[in-house]
Amino acid sequence: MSADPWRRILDEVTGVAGVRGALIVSSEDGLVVAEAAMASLETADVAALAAGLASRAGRVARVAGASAPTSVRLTAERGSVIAVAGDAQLWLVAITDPSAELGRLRILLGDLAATLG
Amino acid sequence: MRVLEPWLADPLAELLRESSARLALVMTSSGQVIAQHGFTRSLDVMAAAALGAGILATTGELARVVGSGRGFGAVVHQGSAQGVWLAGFDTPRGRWIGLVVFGRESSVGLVRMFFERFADTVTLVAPPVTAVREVLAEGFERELDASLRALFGRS
Amino acid sequence: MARLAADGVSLTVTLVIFGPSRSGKSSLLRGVHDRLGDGPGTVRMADATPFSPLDWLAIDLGVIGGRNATVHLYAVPGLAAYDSTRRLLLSQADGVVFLADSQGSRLEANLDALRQLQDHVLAREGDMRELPIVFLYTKQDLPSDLVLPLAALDEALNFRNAPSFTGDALRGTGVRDALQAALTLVLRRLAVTTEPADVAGFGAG
Repeated sequence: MSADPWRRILDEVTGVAGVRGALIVSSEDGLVVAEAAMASLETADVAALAAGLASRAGRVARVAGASAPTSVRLTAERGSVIAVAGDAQLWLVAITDPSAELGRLRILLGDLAATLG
Repeated sequence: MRVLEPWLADPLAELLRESSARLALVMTSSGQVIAQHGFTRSLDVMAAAALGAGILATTGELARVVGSGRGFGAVVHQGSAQGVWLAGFDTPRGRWIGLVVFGRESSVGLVRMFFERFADTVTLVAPPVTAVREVLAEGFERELDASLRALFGRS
Repeated sequence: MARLAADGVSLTVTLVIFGPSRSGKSSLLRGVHDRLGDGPGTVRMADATPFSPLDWLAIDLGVIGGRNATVHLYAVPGLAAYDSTRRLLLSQADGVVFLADSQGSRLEANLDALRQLQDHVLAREGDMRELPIVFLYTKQDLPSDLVLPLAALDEALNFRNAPSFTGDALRGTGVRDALQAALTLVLRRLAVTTEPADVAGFGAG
């Protein structure tokens, strides 16, 4: 997939109210592949930690006898991070503030992540 | 863990712990090891440090050739099972180099992130160099002669 | 730079084997390594690879002047492509063993290497007059009509009347004497210093 479809994906995610940033992350390296985010967001760090979190979640799932996780959601007082697995070892990650509608966002991310790779 | 400067111990431990890397070496620009932590028994530490310093020096020349005047910040060698991160950083004690070996439980992104924090911490916490008195005791020339005779005399 | 560890006991000295290409730098290190053997904790070696141009040898000298002393010897190929590696090493070096090829046909190459050494030292705001250096003239065993005598080599290259030796990098003759002279020069400088800025060595780098 070329950079333009990625740009469209990211624009759609950041178009949702409450989303502060959207990343496409390489799960193996924890590196940003594409991003659209507010300047205050440390996207490289988010990518690294989100990929690390997804990797740990995968290990927990394996130990528990479950299949590989398709999404990881971290919710805190001042916002959330939602990561959804796409194809080709890419994850679509959204960083939100507390006002975001997480349910609707999760569905959107799932639909978009399926087109990655 | 082995550190020549005790204040390096905590930052180095944090680097390895947070990044889930397997081992980390800190060395001078000429490859002299200052600190090591992790599975260092699995490799020849001094050789790894010397080679790492050489690789960074070589890539510095590559950076010059391709017009990247300030050089490359870091070099990553990625294998099928593990990778190696090499990066130079400035400290109050001079230019140092970090070498981090990581496996599938970590990633380039994590190593980069926590290595940058490690470098920042080192810059902040490095104590000033204290004055050194009487660097060498008398009679060192005699001892040097005896040492070299003993080393070169045996074969 | 000569490194005194914070424990106050360990001392590490760095010597760079410098000289034109094919003067025997790698052979010298290999010869020292083979002669000293792989005794436990005594000698470590790494050969140059496509990814790292350094030949490196570490020797544990034992206790010298109350310090546990180790000397690191580095050799870098003389090719122009490794100029930045040579520059980097020299910024950290305490002393130099200059390996000169005694053949008359290689005099210009020796001079080029010496000029390069001077350029690197100047680039680090160092002073060539203060650089601990010894000269080792190799290949004196070649037919006499091919090589320059020691006096002529000293005249052409040894501008500071530094210690000079003839030797054979492959067989090791003269090598121990040259290393001892270089280490003595370095350690003498250390012995009279009292401030860490002086311990850093001949350059500001």
